[in-house]
This record gives sequence, C-alpha cells and structure tokens, in this order.
Amino acid sequence: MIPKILFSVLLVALTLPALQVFYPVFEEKPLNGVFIEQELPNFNTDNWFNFEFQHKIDKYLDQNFGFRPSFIRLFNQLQYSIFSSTQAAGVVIGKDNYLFENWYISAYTGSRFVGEDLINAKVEKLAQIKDTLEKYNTKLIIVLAPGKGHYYPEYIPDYYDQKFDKTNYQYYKESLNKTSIEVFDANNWFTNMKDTINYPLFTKTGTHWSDYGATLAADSLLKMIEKELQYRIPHFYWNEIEFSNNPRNADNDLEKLMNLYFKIEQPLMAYPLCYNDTNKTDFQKLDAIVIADSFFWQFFNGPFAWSFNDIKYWYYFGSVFPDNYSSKTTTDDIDIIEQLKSRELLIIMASTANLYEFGSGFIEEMDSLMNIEKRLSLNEKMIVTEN
Amino acid sequence: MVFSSIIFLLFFLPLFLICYFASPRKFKNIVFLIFSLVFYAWGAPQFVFLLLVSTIANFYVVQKMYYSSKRNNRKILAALSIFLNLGMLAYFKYANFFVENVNLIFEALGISAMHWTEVLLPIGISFFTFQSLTYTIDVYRNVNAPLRNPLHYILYIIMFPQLIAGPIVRFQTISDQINNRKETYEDRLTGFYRFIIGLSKKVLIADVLGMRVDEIMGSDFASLDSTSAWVGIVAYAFQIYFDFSGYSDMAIGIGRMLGFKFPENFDNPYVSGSITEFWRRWHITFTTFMRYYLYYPMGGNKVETKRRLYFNLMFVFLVSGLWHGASWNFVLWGAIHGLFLILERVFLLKLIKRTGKIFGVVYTFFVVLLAWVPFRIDGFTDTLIYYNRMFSFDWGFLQFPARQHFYFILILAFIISYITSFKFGLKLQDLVYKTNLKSKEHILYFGIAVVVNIIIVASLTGSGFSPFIYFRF
Repeated sequence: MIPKILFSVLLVALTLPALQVFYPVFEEKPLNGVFIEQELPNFNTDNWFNFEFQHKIDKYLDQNFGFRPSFIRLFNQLQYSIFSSTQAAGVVIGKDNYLFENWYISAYTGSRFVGEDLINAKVEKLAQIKDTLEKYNTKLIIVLAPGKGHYYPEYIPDYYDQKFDKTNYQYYKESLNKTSIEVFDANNWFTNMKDTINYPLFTKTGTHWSDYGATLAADSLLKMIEKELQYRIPHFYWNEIEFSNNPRNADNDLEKLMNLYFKIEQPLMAYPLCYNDTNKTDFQKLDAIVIADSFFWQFFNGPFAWSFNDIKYWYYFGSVFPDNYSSKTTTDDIDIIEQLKSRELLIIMASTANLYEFGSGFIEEMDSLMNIEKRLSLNEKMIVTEN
Repeated sequence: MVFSSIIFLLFFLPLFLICYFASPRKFKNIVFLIFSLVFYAWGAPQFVFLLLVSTIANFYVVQKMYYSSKRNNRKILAALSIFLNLGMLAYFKYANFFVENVNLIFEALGISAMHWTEVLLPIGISFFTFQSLTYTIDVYRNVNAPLRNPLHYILYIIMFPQLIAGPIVRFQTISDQINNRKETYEDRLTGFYRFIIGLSKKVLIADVLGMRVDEIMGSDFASLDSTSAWVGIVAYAFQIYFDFSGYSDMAIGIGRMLGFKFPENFDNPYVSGSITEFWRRWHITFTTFMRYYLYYPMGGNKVETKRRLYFNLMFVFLVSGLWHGASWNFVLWGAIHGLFLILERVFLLKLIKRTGKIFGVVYTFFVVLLAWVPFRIDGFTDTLIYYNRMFSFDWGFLQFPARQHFYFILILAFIISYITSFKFGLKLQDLVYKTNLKSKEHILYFGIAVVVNIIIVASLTGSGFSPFIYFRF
C-alpha cells in the first residue's frame, strides 16, 4: 500500500512544475537582475528539421517552468553557503562576504591596464575636445568615479594576488593632471576619507558608491561645477541622517543579483534625508550632458539632478535618458555637436573599471566629428579665397 | 533530448509516465514507442525516418532469414542484415573520416582532393546498430526466435531510456520482457531511486567537473602548467565515469520503472587492479558485445599461438577505439588499452600479483589516465603537447579557494570511486542501490530521492542563470 501511495505522490510531484506553468496557482517572487528573455517559437517544418524549434523550446522551458525562481534561489543559497560562490555575472565573494564585481578588482590590480600610449592619445584628444567645447561655451569636467576594488582592497580574495605596476586609474590621473582639463577625482577623495568617515562610502554588498557616498560626491561635484562655471546653482542639503542595517536603493545591488533566500549581514549604513532649498531664488539652473557608466544613476535619480534644468544622460554613450524611457533613443539618433553646443556643461564620468574604455567611444566619435568640421571650414575658406 | 534537461525531467518524463501508467496493458508498448519516437525525433528529426525504415527493413530480413529452410539463404540474409547495419554505421560515422584520410594521402601525392559534403551523425547510431546486430546474430544462432510484431522490434531498437548512450541491451536479455513484463510498485519506486542516483552522478558530479575540464582542455596547452594538466585529466577521468555510469543508471532506472531489467554497465571500474580487470568493470555491455560478437568469432583465447592471441586483443581494442569515434585519437586510446592488456598477459599481471593490490590500482588508474588524454583531446599534436605538459613537472598552484566547489566534487568523486575497495564501502553501496525495500525504508528512500531531485533541478536551472545588474546599453 505504501509504495502505491508514494508512487502516486511522485507522479503528482513530478507534474507540479509543468502544471504551474499552465495554471499558476502559487504566486512566486520574481528573480532580480536582467537577462535575455526567451520567446516561444512558432512551429514550422523548416525550423523543426533544422533543430531551431527544439532548441528554442528547450531554452523557453528552461526559463518558464513552475517554481523556477524558488529552484534558482535554492541553488544560489547552497552555492553561497557551502562553497562561497555565486552564479551572478561577474560577482566575486571577497573576505567577510564583501561582494565585488571582478572588473573592479582587475581595475585595482591593474590586470586590465590598456597601456600608456593609448591613454596618452586619448587624453590628448580630450584636451582638443575641451578646446572645441570652449568655443561652444560648454565646460568639460571629468569625474573619476571610485571603484570598490580601490576602496576595499583588504576584502579582495587572496587569490587575486598578482598586482601589476600600473593601473588605468593611476595613469589617467597622471596624464589628465598634465592638461588643463578639470578633473574631480572622487576615487582619490574616497580612499583618503575612508579611515576618517563614520559610514561606509561603499556598502558591503553593493557595487556602486553607497547612497551616502553618492550624496557626498554629488554635493562636492556641484560645488566644483559652481566654481568652474561661476554660476550660482541650487544646492541640496541634509540635516538628518537615517541609519539602517537594511540596505536601500542600489546599496545591495550585487546581493540582489545573487538571488538568495537569506540576507547577508550588513554593517550600519547612513541615509541622508536630502531636501532642496526652495527659499533661494537667485540661482540659475544648468543644461548638461553626462556621458557616464552606471555610477551616474544615483545622481540622475537623486538630489544632484535638482540643480539642473535639464540633464541628458548618455549612458555608456549609447542610450539617451530620459528620452529612452518614452521611446528608444540612442546617441546615433541625435546630432552630437548640436546637442553639445546647446549645453553649458559636459561631464564625462567613469568609474575605475570603466576607464578600460574611457568615454565609451565618445572621445573617438567627437575627434572624428571635429576633423570633419575642420575639413569643412577649410573647404569654406578655400572657396572664399578662390572667389 | 538528454535526461539531465528541464524539458525531459519536468515535461517529457512526467507526461510519459502518466500516459504509460494510465494506459491499458495492451497499449503500453505503443505509448512507449510513440514517446520513444518523439524523444528521438526531438534530437534528430532528420534521421527518425531513416531509423524507422532501416529498422523495419532489418526486421523483415531477419524474419525471412529465420524462416528460411536453406542454410545458404540464412547465411546470405544474415550477411545482408549485418551489411545493412554496419553499412549505415560505416557511412554515417566513418565516411567523413575516410574521405579526410584519403584526401591527406592525395595531398601528399600531389593529387587534388576529393569533393565531399560532410555527413551528419545520427544520434545513438553506435548503440542502436549494435543492438540491431545482436538481434540478427542471436536469431541467426537460434538463441532466440525473432519477434512477431514489427512494433515490438522497433521498440527494442529505439526505446528511449537506452537509445542514446546504452547500456547495449542484447536481444536475448530482454526478448521476453518486450512482450511480457511484470510491473510492480516496488520496481517503479526502486527504478525512480536508481534514476535519481544516475541523475545525481551526472548533474551534481560530472557536470561540475566538466566545467573545469572544459576550461583546461580549451586553454592553450603550451602555456599549461603540470598541475593544471594533471588536474584536468584526473577530473576528466571522473567526469566521464560519473557521466557515463550516471546515464546508465538513469536508463536502468527508467527501464525498471516500466518493468524492464536492463543489464548493469559499470562495476566500480577505478578499483580495478589491472587493465584486464578494468575491462570487466567498465562499459560492461560494450565489452560483452565485443567479446561475443567479435573476439570469440576471431578465436578469442582459444588460438594456436600467442602471437595470434595478441593480435586478436589488439584488433578488438583498435575496433573498440574506432567505435567510440571516427578519429585516430580514439584508435590511439584503444591501442593503449590493447597494448597494456597484452603486456599484462606477457608479464605485468605476475608483477602486480607480487607487488600487491594497491600498486595494481595505482598502475591501472595511471594507464587509464594516459589513455584518456587522446580520448578527450582532438588532434594528435595537441595530445603530444598535453603529455609533454603533464610530464614537464612545471608545477603551479591548485587555486583551491577560487574553485572550492570543483575541488570538493573532485574529492567526493574520488571517494565514491574508491570507497568500494573496502568492505564498508561495498556495504554502503549495497545500501544505496538496495531493492526489495520494506515500507518504512521506502518512505526514507523516497524522501531522500525527492530532496535530491529538487537539488538537481535547482542545480540544472541555477547553474545556467547568470543575471546582470543592467544591460550596458
């Protein structure tokens, strides 16, 4: 009798994940992170015989069976708790369970150093871009955003023991300092402040600057902008700070990505309650373009943006925000020169890991556009002379 | 479709089991056949018709042979059936290899190469061809009468549990079970437990080892240190064992759930004290096939000279190598095994007897490892470079902290593979594979199997899920 009951239970249990697909009785918490969603293919004899249909169905079902989020969380939790490992793309579990993205560790060790020649050439082009922008009355500011590898080297796992002579950050800094380009070196500022500040500027399980760190950096950057542009721009302020062991916003973005059942223990984090001083009216709001990696999201969605009339965020010099929210817009769809001419400020921000591809292609694109402009104006001059 | 996939475990298998067990007895084989065809067609849609046509043709040729009264006709029809089976195997599996080698010779002689459109390999052809041959030969030798119903014969050839990776089930082993098998709840449950054991071996052990093996085997061998080269080949030795024996366990398990008793395919091969013993424990159904259908017909051990005996051994192993894949590397793998079998006959077995069991086990594993190198690596040059890296004694670090999961599984695989060298290990094995369980034991085994199954599904889906924080653009 018992084998019969057990076998019946088995058949029911085996069919549950498939049934949940068609009759989703149990509500499931979705998984965090972005991934490519598989689509259900259409059947035809061609894609059946060339195996495409089966391949796509396999992929679709892999991603769409009942209780998948729970299965994935179970796997991730086992991997994390037993082997201190994770499947989340690029995530490294450091000492005391401090989480890193591996390219921030590489940025710190120098294993992704692109070479002096390439950096020199890029900085030279940047200096030319700065001169051109000045003709448009557009100010250029470079922000060297910090990296978690530089901030928490003591938590990097020991197996990353190979340290190279030079890092992209170090060489860009040296090279930029030889020019007249304005640089806000947040990485250096953060590491210098680390031992004196009370609350973490990077959290244990996030990859970006902490909410607190981003707020401090945004405040300093605004002051710098004001000084460099000689504008009176509105500022944000805080009188109160909330403290929590539960990370907010993106402060545990890597932990979320790991999709675990149980939370990772956190130190106390600070959350300044910012406000805008609406009493002051004697200021001007700027129009700005920011070419940046994901470190700018906290600025774009936070109090930093209050000081601007309009900010266009050219994310990795690809998607254009906020336009992209309403319809897909990329930098290919816009006139870059015209856009730059219409703004008072251009910020290029890159964290230590993204100095590997500093500017995300903007510097090269701008250099080529400037050459075209030069050729055109030369042609015009020649035509005028001939006439 | 592979057993260790979501589509099989959560969709195909449950649907099949429900349809199969809900069907009246007389329709069970038809349900089994339909699902087996879908299973095969899913992975090889272009070959399912070829498989059906060749199988039906073979069925009628063998039937005609059996009922033929003239001895010569029987011989001709048996030869036709064998030619049909081996011809398909030769064409689909070896034609590309043959043309490639002929073209190499042409190139050396300055003759322009033959034009050839590469032939695709039907999945499982090596296995179902051998099963088909056992049917022809067993009927020819009057060991069994042929099946009367062609559907039963097709089912024997393409039943999905053992279609792709064996075990190679000789016709005489299951001829009675196709028509008349007994299904019990005890078998259904113990079959499921066996399936889960196999699935665990495949997903939780072999696949984990395989990821690191692929990394090492995909690297530039010239810059590989000796540590990585040895780790790579040792891990591969366990990967292939747990993968292959896991697959056999799954096939045996599903078969048992349906009332079939498939033969065992592995018996702790790495505890072998000699290569001779290794081949009694590794891929047993293949060895049995080669012994009965090639080695014995060539004279086997009962030959007049030792030279002929050694020739027979080497020939069987060279053919065995080629059966595993159409490449000279597989031939080299077979040659290494053949050579050591001969050396054991000449003197090594005596030496092992004197030096003791431990030396025998170490020696056997060492030879098996050496043979796995050409088996795993494509190309003769790369094989030589890999050997060179293994024996250059240029040691590097193990990188244990970064690869805890891999090393944990490697150590576990080692323990499982060798624990049966001890009495308590054998007892433990008997406990794991126990059948005829009491009701209380069933509850325990069932609970463990379900938990392990959940972990396996979690592992299958979780190991392929690597989300990003954002897309970069």
